[in-house]
Amino acid sequence: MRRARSCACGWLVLLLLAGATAAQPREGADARLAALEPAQADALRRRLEAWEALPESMRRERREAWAAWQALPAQERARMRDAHEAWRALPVAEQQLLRSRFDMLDAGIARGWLLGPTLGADWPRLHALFAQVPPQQRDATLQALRALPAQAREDLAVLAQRTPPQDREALRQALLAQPPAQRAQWLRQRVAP
Amino acid sequence: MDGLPALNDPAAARVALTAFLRGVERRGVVFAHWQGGDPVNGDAALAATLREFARVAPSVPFADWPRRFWAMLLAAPQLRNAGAPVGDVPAEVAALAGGPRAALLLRVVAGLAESDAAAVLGIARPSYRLALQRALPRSGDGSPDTAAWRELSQAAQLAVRAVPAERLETIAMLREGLRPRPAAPPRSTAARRRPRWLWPATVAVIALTAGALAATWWWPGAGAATQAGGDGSIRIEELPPPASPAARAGPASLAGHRDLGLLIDQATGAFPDDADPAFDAWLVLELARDGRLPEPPVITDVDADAASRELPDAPR
Repeated sequence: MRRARSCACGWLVLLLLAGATAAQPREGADARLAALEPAQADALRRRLEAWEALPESMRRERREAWAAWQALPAQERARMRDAHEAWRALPVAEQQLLRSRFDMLDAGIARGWLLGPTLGADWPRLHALFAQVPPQQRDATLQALRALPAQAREDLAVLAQRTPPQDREALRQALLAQPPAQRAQWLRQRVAP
Repeated sequence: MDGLPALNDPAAARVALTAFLRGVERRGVVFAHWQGGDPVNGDAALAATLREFARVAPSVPFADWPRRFWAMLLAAPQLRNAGAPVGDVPAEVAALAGGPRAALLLRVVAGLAESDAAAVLGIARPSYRLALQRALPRSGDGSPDTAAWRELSQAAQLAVRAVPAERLETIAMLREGLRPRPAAPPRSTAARRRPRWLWPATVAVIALTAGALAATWWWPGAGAATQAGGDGSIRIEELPPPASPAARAGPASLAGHRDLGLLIDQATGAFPDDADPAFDAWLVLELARDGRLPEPPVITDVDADAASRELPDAPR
């Protein structure tokens, strides 16, 4: 089972997502709370009870999933919702087959999909490059990665494999230093000069 | 999966299948009735599921049989929309909507472990735990009602034991595609001629009652967690620990709560209880790969920004 196994890339996803979690504005939630009807606030209080009764490990998992979902662009969220509905419409056997195939993924790889359909697919090949992202660069890094076209992500994956560990930081910095519109071209030149 | 592969020896597979079906059919009767609300529809759903399961079982790893069986039963059209209950459905169950009801029944009637129940519903374990907690009977002050939970578990257990052999026979006939025997004759006829099963059934009920009474005498901790073996009985477990006092406090405990945003998104359905973004993201690629989901349009940075602005906060 995948929960028993783990790999370093799971922690890297956490590092990247940590920025998103910290960035949730608490004031916004408080304002939403104030706008609730009394009955809704009651329902929320019951929900809080159920939530508090969960073990901390499970709460952490839900928190992480929610933070990851919040950090996704609306277009990716909509695509995920469509996929979920398409999956629900499948025969039970196919639903279960897909679910069990996902459950068989390595824990770190599975968690990488929290980065969304675009980055999740590339994550196994990209994670080596993002082992040590400084906290202040997390958002910018995620944004830069998401904005890269498919070919550029492919190039970055090739560079990640080619670059020795001591040079990865420099590569990441150099990529972020490029103007967003030129990053794809810059990567292409690095891969195929 | 680390489960056993599908059984290769046809004779062994047949024996295993018969034993499995015998093990689930009583629980299936109660599950289908309580989930769908109607005993007749429930029996039909169960018969169809048993028939279909027997067909697919040889190709399913043995260890996956329970998950597959209960998922198939739950997916039966008759159980999709829980209607007003007919017959003996406990009020706590009848009051629940379809989703939470399934979460509860998979535990108390099907007797599945948490991981299997979550797998049947296709959701992550924390989501299942939340759904189950939401379905638990509550006392007046909103806290989980331990006594009611225990009573419900016992009611389920009794209902499973009390499924009459005639009903199983009818289901077996439905399963074989035979026309079931007509329903019991009107009361006036029954009064004239006592059914043959009445005497043995009366003895059985007396024996059961005496046994239950003896059990309360010799086994004072009967309410504590008991683990059932593979004998078809129901697993009874203690409730999750009660909520901390802080969680029961007034509105102040909500304001400033670190998970308030998450809880509100769950309550409003923006981020459903069973949301599993990692799985959904993976599904996008998997389903697109075999053409079951259209390929995404190629989106430039500018388009993506515009899309983010235009789309409301889509659920999931």
